[in-house]
Amino acid sequence: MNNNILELKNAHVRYGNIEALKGVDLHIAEAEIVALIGANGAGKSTLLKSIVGLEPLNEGEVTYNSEILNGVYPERDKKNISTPTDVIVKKGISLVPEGRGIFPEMTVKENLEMGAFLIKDKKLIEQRIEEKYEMFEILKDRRKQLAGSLSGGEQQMLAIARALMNSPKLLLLDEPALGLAPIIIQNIFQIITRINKESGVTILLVEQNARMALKISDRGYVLETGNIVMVDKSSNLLENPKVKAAYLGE
Amino acid sequence: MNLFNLPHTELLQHLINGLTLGAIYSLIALGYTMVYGILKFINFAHGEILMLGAYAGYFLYYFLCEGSQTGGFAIIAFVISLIFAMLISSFLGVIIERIAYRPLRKAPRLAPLLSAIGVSIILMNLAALFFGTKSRKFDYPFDNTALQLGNISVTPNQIMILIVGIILMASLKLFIDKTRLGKAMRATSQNQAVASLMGINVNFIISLTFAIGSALAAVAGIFMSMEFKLYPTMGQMAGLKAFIAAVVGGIGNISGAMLGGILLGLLETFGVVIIGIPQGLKDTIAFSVLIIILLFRPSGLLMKNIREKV
Repeated sequence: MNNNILELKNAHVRYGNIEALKGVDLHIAEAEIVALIGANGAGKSTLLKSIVGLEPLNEGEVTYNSEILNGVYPERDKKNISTPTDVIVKKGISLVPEGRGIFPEMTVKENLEMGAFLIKDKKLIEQRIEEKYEMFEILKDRRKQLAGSLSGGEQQMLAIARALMNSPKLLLLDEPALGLAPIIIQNIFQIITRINKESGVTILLVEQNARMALKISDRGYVLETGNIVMVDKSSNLLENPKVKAAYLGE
Repeated sequence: MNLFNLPHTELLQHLINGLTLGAIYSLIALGYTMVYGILKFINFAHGEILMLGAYAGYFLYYFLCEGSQTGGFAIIAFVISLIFAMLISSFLGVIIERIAYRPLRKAPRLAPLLSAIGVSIILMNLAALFFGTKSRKFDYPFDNTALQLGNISVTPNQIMILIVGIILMASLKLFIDKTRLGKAMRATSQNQAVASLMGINVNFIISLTFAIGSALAAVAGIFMSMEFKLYPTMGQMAGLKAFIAAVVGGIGNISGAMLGGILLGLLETFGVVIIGIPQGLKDTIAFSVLIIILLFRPSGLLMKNIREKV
């Protein structure tokens, strides 16, 4: 019995001749915050997409609570069998996509309602929306505005709040700090920590802002051109000379 | 003759004629715009879905009443036939999407478009083969003698088209704006990948979109067979004009399709009586409107440009 909520084994993703993931092994234990750092084009977003079934694996497998979500079965002519994204989401995984992916022509409240699409109980939806308004006060003020009119930071908060609407067990965040002002980044990272500590949500955080990501995470992976080149406790990675030179600008 | 020396009653008369025609265009245009909103492609087989729905309704109606009756039973038979036509068209729309469009979803955008044109040609010819090329007329289930309201004459059929059209469009708008599935449709049209991340089954939403759009087309098809005629190529010109209506309103925009349809119906009617465009050249009005819109407001009348901030 292992307590890994998520595991990637030998995950490969190819786009034509380009191999975006070249055999990635990664595991996340329950209630952990794991950071995945790496440069642009290292394959970070592809990795997250493969977990939610938006990017089929060409080799290897993704398992969630020991159940295969996305993988290749040798007995079926190596055909990829990927669980549809909406079914994966139902199992308790939420992804906050890169660039936030809010629905720009829907109001803030409607965006939150979409996050609760799988919930049928209207009272529960209202209750969760109220919880999110408490967590992100600015969203309450903006609830009737079109999401496309929000500032970048507000959109990011909306994207996180929306991903939390169906109370996921595993939250995947793709570059939540991208393009935001430092003070807002700090705020967002505080919220991520809170989500993990208060609700016990397991978090996989993909970030280019390596310092912040490593500060709030338990463990970290370094991804370079489709390969995991380092795995360690985040506190060790912060002291690692190679990481310092390549990702922390020291 | 111009707008200003046209007698009021005559103006009102043309207004009603134009609105009736416009309501039919709007119902068809909605199908184009809904599918475009979600798949970013024009379903060129939409006119044939309309035509086959109209035939389905026609045959059931004649099976039920053996034709040329009016009165209580005929009206019930008509309602049943209308619903049947909607179901047949919905089913067809969903099946066509499954067979001809879904396998091409990741192909270049030209591929499903060509596939749609192919489906359109096949269906039109199958209809000609099985139903013959002669045009038929859907008889009114009620006495269609025009009612005289002052100096204006309105047929009961026109009244029905306007009322049913308004009810259907209002219900659609409510559905899209307020219900869970309607919102999911909007979400899917804005970002399919993210919609699936919300737990929305995108394939189901696409099927639902085809089903609704096709059902509305069937209603328009029945109305057309009553006001005008029923024949295998009836979906061609009507489809083309409704497509123009959708573009005029802003393709992908539901209210835009409604507005565009009504506007086109009015322009066609008034173009003939006021500007004096010969009846035979009536069809040029729609295409001229298309050219003007594409030149001056290519995204359509109701299209706002809200950009996602990055």
